[in-house]
Amino acid sequence: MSPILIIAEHRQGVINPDTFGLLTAGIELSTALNTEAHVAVIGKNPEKLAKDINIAGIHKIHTFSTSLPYNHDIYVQVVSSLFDKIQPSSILSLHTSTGTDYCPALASILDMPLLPDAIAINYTDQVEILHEMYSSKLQAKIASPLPAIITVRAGVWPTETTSGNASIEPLNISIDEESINFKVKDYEETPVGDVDISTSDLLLSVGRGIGDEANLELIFSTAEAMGATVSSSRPIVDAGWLPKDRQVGQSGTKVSPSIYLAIGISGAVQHIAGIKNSKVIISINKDPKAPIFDASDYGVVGDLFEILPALLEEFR
Amino acid sequence: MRILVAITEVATPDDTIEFSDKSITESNFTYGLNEWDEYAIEEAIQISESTANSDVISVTIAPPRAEKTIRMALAKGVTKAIRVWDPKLESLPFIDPRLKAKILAKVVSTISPDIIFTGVQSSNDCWGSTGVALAAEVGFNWATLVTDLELSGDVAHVRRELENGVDEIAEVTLPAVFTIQTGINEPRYASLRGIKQAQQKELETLSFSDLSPDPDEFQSNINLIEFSLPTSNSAIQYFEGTPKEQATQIATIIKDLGFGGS
Repeated sequence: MSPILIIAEHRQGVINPDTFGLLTAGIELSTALNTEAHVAVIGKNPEKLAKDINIAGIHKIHTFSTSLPYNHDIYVQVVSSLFDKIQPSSILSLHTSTGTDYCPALASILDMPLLPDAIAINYTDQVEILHEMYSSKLQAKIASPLPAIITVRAGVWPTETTSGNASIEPLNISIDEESINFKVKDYEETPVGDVDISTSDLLLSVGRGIGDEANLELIFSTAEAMGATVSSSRPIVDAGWLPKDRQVGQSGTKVSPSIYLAIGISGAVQHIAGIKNSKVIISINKDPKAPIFDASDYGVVGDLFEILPALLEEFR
Repeated sequence: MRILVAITEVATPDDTIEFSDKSITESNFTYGLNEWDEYAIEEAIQISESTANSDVISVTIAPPRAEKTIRMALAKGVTKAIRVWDPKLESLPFIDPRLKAKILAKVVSTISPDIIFTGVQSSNDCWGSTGVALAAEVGFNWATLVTDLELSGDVAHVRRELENGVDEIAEVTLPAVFTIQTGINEPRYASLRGIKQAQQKELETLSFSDLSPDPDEFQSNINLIEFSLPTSNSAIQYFEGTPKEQATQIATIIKDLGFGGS
């Protein structure tokens, strides 16, 4: 069986730590297929990045050097060429802003099945993944013949960092610069405002369940009484009720407080990704099936407008 | 300027999902427009309003049931709508992103848009992949996770939302596909006048045979093994009782960990 090809993710010279979970997923699949695990690193100084991910279980790391920052047109060209060269059994990438930006195009161009956002991968006579649907309330086990392109959810697989001795081989391919139509100009970070939610030890976090901007007053007064910092899920920031620096989640801020108190937050995948490192998660939600409860230590199924005023009284 | 906006109808998040191994019982769902697509429609309408000789065409792959949702898009200002459906799709448990892209690509080739907008993902399928697959299928450029977009001539200046509070500033030349992230704009509500006008607007329906001389080319290369419920969290402790009692239990945890005073 031909190798599994894993595409490492990095930005501005640093390996995305979630790449290590991706490597675990790829190595597991290569073991199930009784084949080798290969990795591709595409970017600036790829040899240095290759050393950072040279862990046990990887057989070969292909590097492609380009001075340009991540660009889907380059990734599609390089991975397509590498595909022609090594004919991998499958290609694995993270299901991130990067992976979802080039893998679907790669699948079209190489005419391969695309299996998005895997939270488990299994091999029988075809490759199977577990994929969450309907706001994480339903799981679908879906399958396709090999080779497939699989995008893997960040933070699901354990990370392994035992160093390995994969050979590092520069890719000898040329790319067509004329067909690079996407131009990255700059990166910008969300400006930090009056609070830094990443360092707060007690977060009172508010979601769509609050219903109306005026109800935020109840959140702020409760937070003040208990000494908590107010953060939020995405819809509150989308609506313009709180600034972006208060947003917890994959695209906002990842937090690690002692207590994360989630009020009226359903628990989208991207939100859960940002709260995993909290020590204790307490959730209040009216929907007993809300995915937030799957990530919580303590839960209250109920009306936040009845519970919060009572909670405020507890700290008065 | 011609803008195509690819939109999806979804079951609302509060719906209880009834399913068997191989199919979802849809009869108990309340349907609406996919949240991301609300923003995609608004972005399309805003550009058409500020650009002379523009029109916005929506395309949806859905059964007749979806026409009510599609009329809402027309009521907001979409010029014309296309709905694609085929008996062959009835038997599929879902439409995988590459099949969606192949179907949409046929529509793109007949209407030749300058811009295609779609939502980053749909809350039901959660593929997050259709926009990029479509761009590759039709040979357009693309930008994903767009939270800001300015056009100057045939160049789009975009802001893309990456992870951990980092945005990417980039440029892409039209024709292009943009997958729109929530929060990019403030989606409008349909006016009463808009709702009335929507009834008169064209809603064209197309089947596979309208799109291709070889309808068998629309095949899915992904199959469903089974649907299942997520593993429930057995470690969670639920606080029962009156709201007051529940609040006391929450407060005890918080105070025991050294917060909130005594």
